[in-house]
Amino acid sequence: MCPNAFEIAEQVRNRARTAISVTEEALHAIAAKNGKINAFTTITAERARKRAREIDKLIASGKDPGALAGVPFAAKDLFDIEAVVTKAGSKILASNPPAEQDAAAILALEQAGAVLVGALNMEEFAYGFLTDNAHYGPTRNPLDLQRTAGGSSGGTAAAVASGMVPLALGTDTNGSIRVPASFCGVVGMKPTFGCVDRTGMVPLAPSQDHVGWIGNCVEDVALAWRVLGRGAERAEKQAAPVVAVAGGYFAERMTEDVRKAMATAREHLDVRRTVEIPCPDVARAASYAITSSEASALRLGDLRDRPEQLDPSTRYRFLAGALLPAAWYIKGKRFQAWFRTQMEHLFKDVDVLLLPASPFVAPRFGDESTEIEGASYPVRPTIGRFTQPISSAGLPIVCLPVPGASRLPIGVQLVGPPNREDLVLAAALKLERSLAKSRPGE
Amino acid sequence: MIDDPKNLNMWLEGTAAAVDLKIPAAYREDVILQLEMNRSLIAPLLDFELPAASYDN
Repeated sequence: MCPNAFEIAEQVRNRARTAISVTEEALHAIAAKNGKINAFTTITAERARKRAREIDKLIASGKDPGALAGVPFAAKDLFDIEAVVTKAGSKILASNPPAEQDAAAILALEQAGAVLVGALNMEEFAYGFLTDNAHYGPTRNPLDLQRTAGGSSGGTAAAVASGMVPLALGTDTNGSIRVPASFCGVVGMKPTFGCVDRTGMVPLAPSQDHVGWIGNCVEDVALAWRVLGRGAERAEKQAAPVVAVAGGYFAERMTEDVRKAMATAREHLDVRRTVEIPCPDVARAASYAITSSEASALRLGDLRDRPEQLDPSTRYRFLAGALLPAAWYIKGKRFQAWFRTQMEHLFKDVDVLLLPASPFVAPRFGDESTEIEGASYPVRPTIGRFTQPISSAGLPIVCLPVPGASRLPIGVQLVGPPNREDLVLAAALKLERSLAKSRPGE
Repeated sequence: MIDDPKNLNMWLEGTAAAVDLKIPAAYREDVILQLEMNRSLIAPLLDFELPAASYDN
Protein backbone atom coordinates (compact mmCIF):
# COMPACT_ATOMS: atom_id res chain seq x y z
CA MET A 1 0.00 0.00 0.00
CA CYS A 2 1.31 3.49 -0.82
CA PRO A 3 1.71 6.14 1.90
CA ASN A 4 -1.41 8.02 2.94
CA ALA A 5 -2.28 11.29 1.22
CA PHE A 6 -1.78 13.41 4.32
CA GLU A 7 1.68 11.90 4.89
CA ILE A 8 2.71 12.53 1.27
CA ALA A 9 1.49 16.16 1.42
CA GLU A 10 3.42 16.75 4.64
CA GLN A 11 6.60 15.24 3.22
CA VAL A 12 6.34 17.25 0.00
CA ARG A 13 5.64 20.51 1.83
CA ASN A 14 8.55 19.83 4.20
CA ARG A 15 10.84 19.02 1.24
CA ALA A 16 11.46 15.51 2.53
CA ARG A 17 10.28 14.33 -0.90
CA THR A 18 9.65 16.02 -4.24
CA ALA A 19 6.29 15.96 -5.99
CA ILE A 20 7.95 14.59 -9.13
CA SER A 21 9.43 11.62 -7.24
CA VAL A 22 6.03 10.82 -5.71
CA THR A 23 4.41 11.09 -9.15
CA GLU A 24 7.00 8.81 -10.76
CA GLU A 25 6.38 6.27 -7.99
CA ALA A 26 2.64 6.34 -8.65
CA LEU A 27 3.17 5.99 -12.43
CA HIS A 28 5.53 3.07 -11.77
CA ALA A 29 2.95 1.39 -9.51
CA ILE A 30 0.26 1.85 -12.18
CA ALA A 31 2.52 0.36 -14.85
CA ALA A 32 3.29 -2.61 -12.60
CA LYS A 33 -0.21 -3.36 -11.31
CA ASN A 34 -2.84 -2.08 -13.70
CA GLY A 35 -2.47 -4.92 -16.21
CA LYS A 36 -3.92 -7.37 -13.71
CA ILE A 37 -6.43 -5.10 -11.98
CA ASN A 38 -7.68 -2.91 -14.85
CA ALA A 39 -8.50 0.09 -12.67
CA PHE A 40 -7.29 2.75 -15.13
CA THR A 41 -8.75 3.50 -18.57
CA THR A 42 -6.43 6.47 -19.26
CA ILE A 43 -3.06 7.41 -17.77
CA THR A 44 -2.17 11.11 -17.95
CA ALA A 45 1.56 10.66 -17.34
CA GLU A 46 2.89 13.75 -19.12
CA ARG A 47 0.28 16.04 -17.59
CA ALA A 48 1.10 14.58 -14.15
CA ARG A 49 4.85 15.13 -14.55
CA LYS A 50 4.27 18.72 -15.69
CA ARG A 51 2.00 19.43 -12.73
CA ALA A 52 4.39 17.78 -10.25
CA ARG A 53 7.29 19.95 -11.48
CA GLU A 54 5.09 23.04 -11.03
CA ILE A 55 4.43 21.97 -7.42
CA ASP A 56 8.14 21.49 -6.80
CA LYS A 57 8.87 24.94 -8.26
CA LEU A 58 6.26 26.53 -5.99
CA ILE A 59 7.83 24.89 -2.95
CA ALA A 60 11.33 25.89 -4.03
CA SER A 61 10.13 29.51 -4.26
CA GLY A 62 8.80 29.33 -0.69
CA LYS A 63 5.09 29.11 -1.58
CA ASP A 64 2.60 26.61 -0.13
CA PRO A 65 0.97 24.60 -2.93
CA GLY A 66 -1.91 23.51 -0.71
CA ALA A 67 -3.20 20.81 1.60
CA LEU A 68 -2.69 18.05 -0.99
CA ALA A 69 0.80 19.07 -2.12
CA GLY A 70 2.13 16.44 -4.52
CA VAL A 71 -0.58 13.85 -3.75
CA PRO A 72 -1.25 11.68 -6.83
CA PHE A 73 -4.93 11.04 -7.50
CA ALA A 74 -7.16 9.65 -10.22
CA ALA A 75 -10.76 10.26 -11.23
CA LYS A 76 -13.61 7.99 -12.32
CA ASP A 77 -13.97 8.25 -16.08
CA LEU A 78 -17.09 10.41 -15.86
CA PHE A 79 -15.25 13.52 -14.71
CA ASP A 80 -14.02 15.71 -17.56
CA ILE A 81 -10.24 15.81 -17.96
CA GLU A 82 -8.97 18.47 -20.34
CA ALA A 83 -7.86 16.97 -23.70
CA VAL A 84 -9.23 13.49 -22.78
CA VAL A 85 -12.51 11.97 -24.01
CA THR A 86 -14.91 11.42 -21.09
CA LYS A 87 -16.32 7.95 -21.80
CA ALA A 88 -18.27 7.26 -18.60
CA GLY A 89 -17.60 3.56 -19.19
CA SER A 90 -19.52 3.66 -22.47
CA LYS A 91 -18.81 3.07 -26.14
CA ILE A 92 -21.45 5.67 -26.99
CA LEU A 93 -19.42 8.61 -25.58
CA ALA A 94 -16.07 7.29 -26.86
CA SER A 95 -16.50 9.13 -30.18
CA ASN A 96 -17.11 12.49 -28.46
CA PRO A 97 -14.43 15.19 -28.74
CA PRO A 98 -12.01 15.52 -25.81
CA ALA A 99 -13.14 17.66 -22.88
CA GLU A 100 -12.18 21.32 -23.13
CA GLN A 101 -11.57 21.73 -19.42
CA ASP A 102 -11.32 19.78 -16.19
CA ALA A 103 -14.35 18.98 -14.06
CA ALA A 104 -14.78 21.25 -11.02
CA ALA A 105 -13.79 18.50 -8.56
CA ILE A 106 -10.53 17.80 -10.43
CA LEU A 107 -9.76 21.52 -10.60
CA ALA A 108 -10.36 21.88 -6.85
CA LEU A 109 -8.03 18.99 -5.98
CA GLU A 110 -5.29 20.29 -8.29
CA GLN A 111 -5.65 23.80 -6.91
CA ALA A 112 -4.89 22.25 -3.51
CA GLY A 113 -1.67 20.77 -4.89
CA ALA A 114 -2.82 17.27 -5.94
CA VAL A 115 -1.55 15.68 -9.18
CA LEU A 116 -3.95 13.90 -11.55
CA VAL A 117 -2.49 10.67 -12.96
CA GLY A 118 -5.44 9.27 -14.91
CA ALA A 119 -9.04 8.18 -15.39
CA LEU A 120 -10.63 5.12 -13.79
CA ASN A 121 -12.82 2.27 -15.00
CA MET A 122 -16.46 2.12 -13.99
CA GLU A 123 -19.83 0.58 -14.78
CA GLU A 124 -21.30 2.00 -17.98
CA PHE A 125 -22.81 5.40 -17.10
CA ALA A 126 -22.29 4.50 -13.39
CA TYR A 127 -25.30 2.17 -13.57
CA GLY A 128 -24.46 -0.93 -11.51
CA PHE A 129 -22.47 -2.42 -8.65
CA LEU A 130 -20.00 -4.80 -10.36
CA THR A 131 -17.70 -2.90 -12.80
CA ASP A 132 -17.80 -5.88 -15.16
CA ASN A 133 -17.69 -3.50 -18.11
CA ALA A 134 -18.32 -5.07 -21.54
CA HIS A 135 -16.35 -2.33 -23.35
CA TYR A 136 -13.33 -1.75 -21.11
CA GLY A 137 -13.14 -5.03 -19.20
CA PRO A 138 -13.77 -5.96 -15.58
CA THR A 139 -12.01 -4.18 -12.75
CA ARG A 140 -10.62 -6.89 -10.48
CA ASN A 141 -10.54 -6.77 -6.72
CA PRO A 142 -6.89 -6.29 -5.67
CA LEU A 143 -7.47 -8.64 -2.69
CA ASP A 144 -8.75 -11.48 -4.89
CA LEU A 145 -8.50 -11.10 -8.66
CA GLN A 146 -11.36 -13.56 -9.24
CA ARG A 147 -13.74 -11.16 -7.50
CA THR A 148 -15.30 -7.85 -8.44
CA ALA A 149 -14.00 -4.58 -7.03
CA GLY A 150 -17.63 -3.48 -6.76
CA GLY A 151 -19.18 -0.55 -8.57
CA SER A 152 -19.96 1.66 -10.08
CA SER A 153 -16.73 3.34 -8.88
CA GLY A 154 -14.83 0.04 -9.12
CA GLY A 155 -11.69 1.55 -10.63
CA THR A 156 -11.70 4.20 -7.89
CA ALA A 157 -11.66 1.63 -5.06
CA ALA A 158 -9.27 -0.77 -6.80
CA ALA A 159 -6.73 1.98 -7.61
CA VAL A 160 -6.56 2.94 -3.92
CA ALA A 161 -6.72 -0.60 -2.49
CA SER A 162 -3.87 -1.75 -4.76
CA GLY A 163 -1.64 1.18 -3.75
CA MET A 164 -1.55 2.80 -7.19
CA VAL A 165 -2.85 6.12 -5.78
CA PRO A 166 -3.70 7.19 -2.23
CA LEU A 167 -6.84 9.10 -3.23
CA ALA A 168 -9.41 8.80 -6.03
CA LEU A 169 -12.62 10.51 -7.09
CA GLY A 170 -15.85 8.67 -7.78
CA THR A 171 -19.58 9.18 -7.59
CA ASP A 172 -22.38 7.70 -5.50
CA THR A 173 -26.03 7.58 -6.60
CA ASN A 174 -27.21 4.41 -4.84
CA GLY A 175 -24.01 3.17 -3.21
CA SER A 176 -21.38 3.50 -5.95
CA ILE A 177 -18.71 4.76 -3.53
CA ARG A 178 -19.84 2.72 -0.54
CA VAL A 179 -20.14 -0.71 -2.19
CA PRO A 180 -16.67 -0.71 -3.83
CA ALA A 181 -15.12 0.74 -0.67
CA SER A 182 -16.69 -2.13 1.29
CA PHE A 183 -15.56 -4.81 -1.20
CA CYS A 184 -11.99 -3.48 -1.48
CA GLY A 185 -11.36 -2.64 2.20
CA VAL A 186 -10.81 1.10 1.77
CA VAL A 187 -12.49 4.22 3.16
CA GLY A 188 -15.20 5.92 1.08
CA MET A 189 -16.99 9.18 1.66
CA LYS A 190 -20.04 10.79 0.12
CA PRO A 191 -20.93 14.17 1.61
CA THR A 192 -24.34 15.82 1.90
CA PHE A 193 -26.16 16.07 -1.43
CA GLY A 194 -25.22 19.27 -3.25
CA CYS A 195 -22.12 20.04 -1.18
CA VAL A 196 -19.60 19.33 -3.94
CA ASP A 197 -19.65 20.99 -7.36
CA ARG A 198 -20.75 18.52 -10.05
CA THR A 199 -19.79 20.70 -13.03
CA GLY A 200 -18.08 18.65 -15.75
CA MET A 201 -19.45 15.31 -14.61
CA VAL A 202 -21.58 12.91 -16.68
CA PRO A 203 -24.75 12.41 -14.63
CA LEU A 204 -26.63 9.18 -13.95
CA ALA A 205 -29.60 10.44 -11.90
CA PRO A 206 -29.22 14.12 -10.95
CA SER A 207 -31.64 13.86 -7.99
CA GLN A 208 -29.24 11.51 -6.22
CA ASP A 209 -25.80 11.89 -7.84
CA HIS A 210 -23.10 12.77 -5.31
CA VAL A 211 -19.41 13.38 -5.93
CA GLY A 212 -17.51 11.12 -3.53
CA TRP A 213 -13.99 9.82 -3.00
CA ILE A 214 -12.01 6.92 -1.63
CA GLY A 215 -8.79 6.91 0.39
CA ASN A 216 -6.69 4.62 2.55
CA CYS A 217 -7.77 6.10 5.85
CA VAL A 218 -10.32 8.41 7.48
CA GLU A 219 -7.80 11.24 7.75
CA ASP A 220 -7.33 11.18 3.95
CA VAL A 221 -11.03 11.32 3.11
CA ALA A 222 -11.43 14.13 5.68
CA LEU A 223 -8.60 16.02 3.97
CA ALA A 224 -10.33 15.67 0.58
CA TRP A 225 -13.60 16.83 2.17
CA ARG A 226 -11.92 19.99 3.46
CA VAL A 227 -10.70 20.70 -0.08
CA LEU A 228 -13.87 19.78 -1.99
CA GLY A 229 -16.75 20.49 0.34
CA ARG A 230 -18.79 23.67 0.31
CA GLY A 231 -19.02 24.74 3.95
CA ALA A 232 -16.33 22.28 5.08
CA GLU A 233 -14.37 25.11 6.67
CA ARG A 234 -17.35 25.87 8.91
CA ALA A 235 -17.42 22.34 10.34
CA GLU A 236 -18.07 22.09 14.05
CA LYS A 237 -15.75 20.00 16.15
CA GLN A 238 -17.39 16.98 17.72
CA ALA A 239 -15.23 14.83 19.96
CA ALA A 240 -17.53 11.93 20.82
CA PRO A 241 -20.63 11.58 18.67
CA VAL A 242 -23.48 9.45 20.01
CA VAL A 243 -23.86 6.48 17.65
CA ALA A 244 -26.95 4.28 17.30
CA VAL A 245 -27.26 1.14 15.23
CA ALA A 246 -30.07 0.79 12.69
CA GLY A 247 -32.29 -2.18 13.52
CA GLY A 248 -35.04 -4.10 11.69
CA TYR A 249 -34.38 -4.23 7.92
CA PHE A 250 -30.73 -3.23 8.49
CA ALA A 251 -30.13 -6.13 10.87
CA GLU A 252 -31.57 -8.75 8.53
CA ARG A 253 -30.46 -10.64 5.42
CA MET A 254 -26.67 -10.43 5.70
CA THR A 255 -23.93 -13.05 5.80
CA GLU A 256 -22.05 -14.02 8.94
CA ASP A 257 -19.09 -11.88 7.78
CA VAL A 258 -21.23 -8.77 7.84
CA ARG A 259 -22.92 -9.68 11.12
CA LYS A 260 -19.53 -10.10 12.76
CA ALA A 261 -18.23 -6.82 11.32
CA MET A 262 -21.31 -5.01 12.61
CA ALA A 263 -20.87 -6.52 16.10
CA THR A 264 -17.23 -5.41 16.11
CA ALA A 265 -18.15 -1.88 15.02
CA ARG A 266 -20.86 -1.66 17.72
CA GLU A 267 -18.40 -2.68 20.39
CA HIS A 268 -15.69 -0.24 19.30
CA LEU A 269 -18.13 2.65 18.96
CA ASP A 270 -19.79 1.83 22.30
CA VAL A 271 -23.23 1.69 20.65
CA ARG A 272 -26.02 1.36 23.19
CA ARG A 273 -29.08 2.35 21.18
CA THR A 274 -30.99 0.87 18.29
CA VAL A 275 -33.17 3.02 16.04
CA GLU A 276 -35.57 2.11 13.26
CA ILE A 277 -35.15 3.84 9.92
CA PRO A 278 -38.71 4.37 8.64
CA CYS A 279 -39.98 2.42 5.62
CA PRO A 280 -36.59 1.18 4.30
CA ASP A 281 -38.18 -1.07 1.69
CA VAL A 282 -40.21 1.87 0.35
CA ALA A 283 -37.13 4.10 0.44
CA ARG A 284 -35.23 1.54 -1.60
CA ALA A 285 -38.07 1.31 -4.12
CA ALA A 286 -38.20 5.12 -4.38
CA SER A 287 -34.45 5.34 -5.01
CA TYR A 288 -34.82 2.68 -7.68
CA ALA A 289 -37.73 4.45 -9.39
CA ILE A 290 -36.00 7.84 -9.34
CA THR A 291 -32.70 6.47 -10.65
CA SER A 292 -34.30 4.33 -13.31
CA SER A 293 -36.48 7.11 -14.64
CA GLU A 294 -33.86 9.90 -14.59
CA ALA A 295 -31.06 7.72 -16.01
CA SER A 296 -33.19 6.60 -18.95
CA ALA A 297 -34.58 10.07 -19.65
CA LEU A 298 -31.02 11.40 -19.94
CA ARG A 299 -30.07 8.67 -22.45
CA LEU A 300 -33.32 8.70 -24.44
CA GLY A 301 -31.63 9.88 -27.65
CA ASP A 302 -29.10 7.02 -27.47
CA LEU A 303 -31.87 4.53 -26.67
CA ARG A 304 -33.69 5.61 -29.85
CA ASP A 305 -30.64 5.73 -32.13
CA ARG A 306 -28.10 3.15 -30.98
CA PRO A 307 -29.22 0.84 -28.17
CA GLU A 308 -26.98 -1.89 -29.60
CA GLN A 309 -23.94 0.12 -28.44
CA LEU A 310 -24.95 -0.15 -24.78
CA ASP A 311 -23.36 -2.73 -22.48
CA PRO A 312 -25.87 -5.63 -22.30
CA SER A 313 -25.76 -5.39 -18.50
CA THR A 314 -27.22 -1.87 -18.60
CA ARG A 315 -29.14 -1.90 -21.93
CA TYR A 316 -32.38 -3.46 -20.69
CA ARG A 317 -32.47 -1.39 -17.52
CA PHE A 318 -32.10 1.76 -19.61
CA LEU A 319 -34.78 0.68 -22.11
CA ALA A 320 -37.26 -0.44 -19.43
CA GLY A 321 -36.54 2.67 -17.36
CA ALA A 322 -37.64 4.85 -20.28
CA LEU A 323 -41.05 3.15 -20.06
CA LEU A 324 -41.61 3.92 -16.36
CA PRO A 325 -44.92 5.76 -15.80
CA ALA A 326 -44.49 9.39 -14.73
CA ALA A 327 -46.83 8.76 -11.78
CA TRP A 328 -44.33 6.26 -10.33
CA TYR A 329 -41.46 8.71 -10.66
CA ILE A 330 -43.49 11.50 -9.08
CA LYS A 331 -44.46 9.25 -6.20
CA GLY A 332 -40.77 8.47 -5.74
CA LYS A 333 -39.95 12.18 -5.58
CA ARG A 334 -42.78 12.87 -3.12
CA PHE A 335 -41.60 9.99 -0.95
CA GLN A 336 -38.01 11.29 -1.14
CA ALA A 337 -39.12 14.66 0.30
CA TRP A 338 -41.08 12.97 3.10
CA PHE A 339 -38.28 10.49 3.82
CA ARG A 340 -35.70 13.29 4.20
CA THR A 341 -37.79 14.90 6.95
CA GLN A 342 -38.25 11.52 8.68
CA MET A 343 -34.50 10.89 8.61
CA GLU A 344 -33.80 14.34 10.06
CA HIS A 345 -36.15 13.52 12.97
CA LEU A 346 -34.03 10.45 13.78
CA PHE A 347 -31.04 12.69 14.42
CA LYS A 348 -32.72 14.61 17.24
CA ASP A 349 -31.47 12.08 19.79
CA VAL A 350 -28.41 10.58 18.12
CA ASP A 351 -25.54 11.99 16.07
CA VAL A 352 -24.62 9.12 13.79
CA LEU A 353 -26.25 5.89 12.57
CA LEU A 354 -24.31 2.67 12.07
CA LEU A 355 -25.44 0.46 9.16
CA PRO A 356 -23.90 -2.38 7.17
CA ALA A 357 -22.59 -1.34 3.74
CA SER A 358 -23.12 -4.53 1.76
CA PRO A 359 -24.91 -7.78 2.60
CA PHE A 360 -21.90 -9.95 1.66
CA VAL A 361 -18.22 -9.76 0.70
CA ALA A 362 -17.14 -9.14 -2.93
CA PRO A 363 -18.72 -11.80 -5.17
CA ARG A 364 -16.76 -13.72 -7.80
CA PHE A 365 -17.22 -12.67 -11.42
CA GLY A 366 -19.98 -14.79 -12.89
CA ASP A 367 -21.73 -15.48 -9.57
CA GLU A 368 -25.43 -15.07 -10.31
CA SER A 369 -26.71 -15.94 -6.84
CA THR A 370 -25.46 -16.02 -3.27
CA GLU A 371 -26.58 -17.76 -0.12
CA ILE A 372 -27.58 -15.74 2.91
CA GLU A 373 -28.85 -17.44 6.05
CA GLY A 374 -29.82 -20.56 4.12
CA ALA A 375 -31.69 -18.83 1.32
CA SER A 376 -30.50 -18.00 -2.21
CA TYR A 377 -30.58 -14.42 -3.52
CA PRO A 378 -29.63 -12.97 -6.92
CA VAL A 379 -26.30 -11.13 -6.58
CA ARG A 380 -26.83 -8.03 -8.69
CA PRO A 381 -30.16 -6.80 -7.22
CA THR A 382 -29.11 -7.68 -3.64
CA ILE A 383 -25.79 -5.79 -3.47
CA GLY A 384 -27.45 -2.42 -2.84
CA ARG A 385 -29.76 -3.67 -0.08
CA PHE A 386 -28.16 -1.46 2.59
CA THR A 387 -27.00 1.51 0.51
CA GLN A 388 -29.99 2.17 -1.75
CA PRO A 389 -32.63 2.88 0.93
CA ILE A 390 -30.78 5.85 2.39
CA SER A 391 -29.44 7.19 -0.91
CA SER A 392 -32.36 9.47 -1.70
CA ALA A 393 -32.01 11.24 1.68
CA GLY A 394 -28.74 12.83 0.55
CA LEU A 395 -27.04 12.39 3.95
CA PRO A 396 -23.28 12.47 4.59
CA ILE A 397 -21.84 8.96 4.87
CA VAL A 398 -18.42 7.46 5.51
CA CYS A 399 -17.92 3.78 4.73
CA LEU A 400 -14.94 2.10 6.34
CA PRO A 401 -13.64 -1.46 6.62
CA VAL A 402 -14.17 -3.48 9.78
CA PRO A 403 -12.79 -7.00 10.27
CA GLY A 404 -15.44 -9.66 9.62
CA ALA A 405 -15.35 -13.43 9.73
CA SER A 406 -13.70 -13.78 6.31
CA ARG A 407 -10.25 -12.80 4.99
CA LEU A 408 -12.09 -10.55 2.52
CA PRO A 409 -12.96 -7.03 3.66
CA ILE A 410 -16.38 -5.72 4.56
CA GLY A 411 -17.42 -2.15 5.30
CA VAL A 412 -19.89 -0.41 7.56
CA GLN A 413 -21.68 2.88 6.91
CA LEU A 414 -21.66 5.80 9.35
CA VAL A 415 -24.50 8.15 8.45
CA GLY A 416 -25.01 11.66 9.81
CA PRO A 417 -27.55 14.47 9.57
CA PRO A 418 -27.35 16.87 6.60
CA ASN A 419 -24.25 19.12 6.58
CA ARG A 420 -22.72 17.40 9.60
CA GLU A 421 -19.80 15.67 7.92
CA ASP A 422 -17.84 16.51 11.07
CA LEU A 423 -19.97 14.03 13.04
CA VAL A 424 -19.53 11.10 10.65
CA LEU A 425 -15.81 11.80 10.27
CA ALA A 426 -15.36 11.97 14.06
CA ALA A 427 -17.19 8.64 14.51
CA ALA A 428 -15.21 7.07 11.65
CA LEU A 429 -11.91 8.26 13.13
CA LYS A 430 -12.87 6.89 16.54
CA LEU A 431 -13.73 3.49 15.03
CA GLU A 432 -10.59 3.38 12.89
CA ARG A 433 -8.31 4.25 15.82
CA SER A 434 -10.01 1.83 18.17
CA LEU A 435 -9.72 -1.01 15.63
CA ALA A 436 -6.04 -0.18 15.07
CA LYS A 437 -5.34 -0.34 18.82
CA SER A 438 -7.02 -3.72 19.12
CA ARG A 439 -4.94 -5.37 16.36
CA PRO A 440 -2.26 -7.77 17.58
CA GLY A 441 1.09 -6.01 17.90
CA GLU A 442 -0.45 -2.50 18.05
CA MET B 1 -53.40 -6.41 -13.86
CA ILE B 2 -49.91 -5.41 -14.98
CA ASP B 3 -48.61 -8.92 -14.25
CA ASP B 4 -50.69 -10.23 -17.15
CA PRO B 5 -48.25 -10.81 -20.11
CA LYS B 6 -50.77 -9.20 -22.47
CA ASN B 7 -50.76 -6.05 -20.38
CA LEU B 8 -46.97 -6.01 -20.18
CA ASN B 9 -46.92 -6.01 -23.97
CA MET B 10 -49.46 -3.18 -24.02
CA TRP B 11 -47.35 -1.26 -21.52
CA LEU B 12 -44.28 -1.67 -23.67
CA GLU B 13 -46.03 -0.72 -26.92
CA GLY B 14 -47.95 2.23 -25.51
CA THR B 15 -45.20 3.88 -23.49
CA ALA B 16 -42.52 3.26 -26.10
CA ALA B 17 -44.71 4.97 -28.71
CA ALA B 18 -45.31 7.90 -26.35
CA VAL B 19 -41.57 8.56 -26.05
CA ASP B 20 -40.85 7.71 -29.70
CA LEU B 21 -38.79 4.67 -28.79
CA LYS B 22 -38.71 1.56 -30.96
CA ILE B 23 -37.74 -1.54 -28.99
CA PRO B 24 -35.83 -3.82 -31.40
CA ALA B 25 -37.39 -7.29 -31.68
CA ALA B 26 -34.18 -8.91 -30.42
CA TYR B 27 -34.42 -6.94 -27.15
CA ARG B 28 -38.14 -7.27 -26.58
CA GLU B 29 -38.09 -10.33 -24.31
CA ASP B 30 -35.35 -8.92 -22.08
CA VAL B 31 -37.07 -5.55 -21.83
CA ILE B 32 -40.33 -7.24 -20.78
CA LEU B 33 -38.43 -9.23 -18.13
CA GLN B 34 -36.92 -5.98 -16.89
CA LEU B 35 -40.35 -4.30 -16.84
CA GLU B 36 -41.60 -7.14 -14.63
CA MET B 37 -38.58 -6.76 -12.36
CA ASN B 38 -39.06 -2.98 -12.19
CA ARG B 39 -42.71 -3.46 -11.26
CA SER B 40 -41.77 -5.81 -8.43
CA LEU B 41 -38.88 -3.64 -7.15
CA ILE B 42 -41.05 -0.51 -7.16
CA ALA B 43 -44.12 -2.26 -5.69
CA PRO B 44 -43.42 -1.18 -2.06
CA LEU B 45 -43.48 2.45 -3.20
CA LEU B 46 -46.69 2.03 -5.17
CA ASP B 47 -48.38 0.29 -2.22
CA PHE B 48 -47.28 2.94 0.28
CA GLU B 49 -49.75 5.60 1.34
CA LEU B 50 -47.92 8.87 1.87
CA PRO B 51 -49.23 10.84 4.82
CA ALA B 52 -50.81 14.15 3.87
CA ALA B 53 -48.32 16.92 4.61
CA SER B 54 -46.64 19.94 3.15
CA TYR B 55 -43.86 17.93 1.50
CA ASP B 56 -45.58 18.30 -1.90
CA ASN B 57 -44.57 21.95 -2.06
